[in-house]
Amino acid sequence: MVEGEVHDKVMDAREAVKRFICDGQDLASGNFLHAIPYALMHEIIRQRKRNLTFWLPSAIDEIDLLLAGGCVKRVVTSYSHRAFGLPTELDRALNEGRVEVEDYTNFTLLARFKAGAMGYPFMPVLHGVKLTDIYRMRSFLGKEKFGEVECPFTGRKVLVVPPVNPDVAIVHVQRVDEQGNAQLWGSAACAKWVCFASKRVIVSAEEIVDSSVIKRTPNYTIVPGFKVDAVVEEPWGAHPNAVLGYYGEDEMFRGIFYISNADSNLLRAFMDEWIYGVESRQEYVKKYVERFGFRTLQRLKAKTRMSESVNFGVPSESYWSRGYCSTLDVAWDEFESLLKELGMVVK
Amino acid sequence: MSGTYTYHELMMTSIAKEIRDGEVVVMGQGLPMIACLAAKLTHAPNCILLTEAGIVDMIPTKALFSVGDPTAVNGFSYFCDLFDVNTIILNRGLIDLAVLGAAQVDKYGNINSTIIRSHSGQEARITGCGGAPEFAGYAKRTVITLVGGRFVEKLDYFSTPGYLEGGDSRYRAGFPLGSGPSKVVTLKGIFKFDEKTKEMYLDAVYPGVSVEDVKKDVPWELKVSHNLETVEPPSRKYLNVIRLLAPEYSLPTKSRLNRRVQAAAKRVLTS
Repeated sequence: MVEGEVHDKVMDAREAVKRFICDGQDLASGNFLHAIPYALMHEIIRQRKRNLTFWLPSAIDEIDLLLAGGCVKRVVTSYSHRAFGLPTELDRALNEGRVEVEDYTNFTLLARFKAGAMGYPFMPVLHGVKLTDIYRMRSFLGKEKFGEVECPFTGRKVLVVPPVNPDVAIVHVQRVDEQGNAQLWGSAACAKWVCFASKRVIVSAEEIVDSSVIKRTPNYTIVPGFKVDAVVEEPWGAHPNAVLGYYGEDEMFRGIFYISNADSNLLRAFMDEWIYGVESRQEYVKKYVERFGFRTLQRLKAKTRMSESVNFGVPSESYWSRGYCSTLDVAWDEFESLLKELGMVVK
Repeated sequence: MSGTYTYHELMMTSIAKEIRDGEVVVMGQGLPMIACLAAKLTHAPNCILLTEAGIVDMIPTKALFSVGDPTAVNGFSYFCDLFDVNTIILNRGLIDLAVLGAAQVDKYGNINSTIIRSHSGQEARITGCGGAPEFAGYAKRTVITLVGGRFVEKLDYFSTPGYLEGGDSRYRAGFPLGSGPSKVVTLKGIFKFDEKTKEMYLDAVYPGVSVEDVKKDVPWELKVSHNLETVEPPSRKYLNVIRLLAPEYSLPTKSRLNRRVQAAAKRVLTS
């Protein structure tokens, strides 16, 4: 392996977004209401990406933010939170005709990612949705939204959705190694399928850890490095959302956003301060401390509650022990003689 | 035995009591979730609470911020993804009860949570359906909760199936036999569905609420149970658990946000 090759994927958010996200692309977000990749989304907004089609099953305010940044023209989703019944940027964008929305259920939208991830031509979904307006009402996806096939075994009609392979996925996780092996624990409802479905994957993480840490805890890895294009170390990268084991939901900051989101001028001021007014997540955190005090930030930090580690041990790791193979009763230096004796050596 | 309580608290207690010990329960966002958490910490310690995000069999410590929030639990037994919850759990009939919120409900328990239309015909988005269509479709039974929403003659957008057009139309359409909404719980009382016609009727009112009060919210000729009951005020045990888990939810929606921001401002000023 050429030296430096393994470090290729590690970069800052600015470079990752610049290199892998282009105007007009299909963008998917892999986090379902936990560890939302706000740092990467803020960077997308700062770089004024345009005409994106945004795919994500359920949103708190991700759609509002990208709309306010002028980044998104079309949205495929199933839910966008309305905090305390307040108006949102999505409301205004819909009223002004700035966005088209296609509605799925969480499951039928995830089924599209899963079909895309698996390379399947379609994915069966639960049939009941066919009776609802989710099925009947079509926006820009039109006939591509749902289909129906006949089951070759029972003859019954089966409701299906087509695959989706977005151009790029963004996802935030607790930890990742330099190769991009990304670990997300606590709640990872859609992340695996969104990452595998997408052509490019940008991972931001609370921390980059040594690969040996990942290899001792493979059950937490939601996407392997060979499917990942960019690795960004971004502490507080999901603030104000929670990241289990790192920090909790910042309800105070959420409150400020909810109020801002209700009014376009307030929202503009919020974005000027917290997105356009900083160059990076590091600066954002610095600004947070200046505005609200170090203690306010510290209060969000998770206490330690370690999970018990499990035993990955085996009786022996090799067939060879100190130059001797007990299975074949042969020493390492005698192995070729044995092969010769058995007439196996190519002449 | 009771103390001072609010209708929000009585509503959450009423929902909680719909959960039987040992049941597998999928929880929707917000107030219905608090009710489920309260049940787990009171009369139903063996119920299995799960959210669509794949957090299964949790011990709650406080209100979850969302159905994807893993930070409000003291451990959980099984971890899976949203596809698994909908297929290997829900579609195989393993969910006993879904507790879901709604913005509009019709007389057959069909739900809208996507788009509402004003008198002038202008459309406004609510939130979107999330996972409700599948859960209300395939859970053994559903409890619908109506806090900010309302009853309508006809849904502006049909997001989530209840009893469709009533009678056996739900089962003819292919939903599991016996499934469907069992109750609707609001800030005024509790509604059930007629066994035959599947039309909603008023089954119980909260203390201080009259049938006329309830009828004001219902645009069709609401049927009322012959044995209309008045719901017992919540016991101290339920009130304590609800306030412990989610003090914000006892307050009216608007003042919740104000209190939160004021409290934060005060903290920042004094820190």
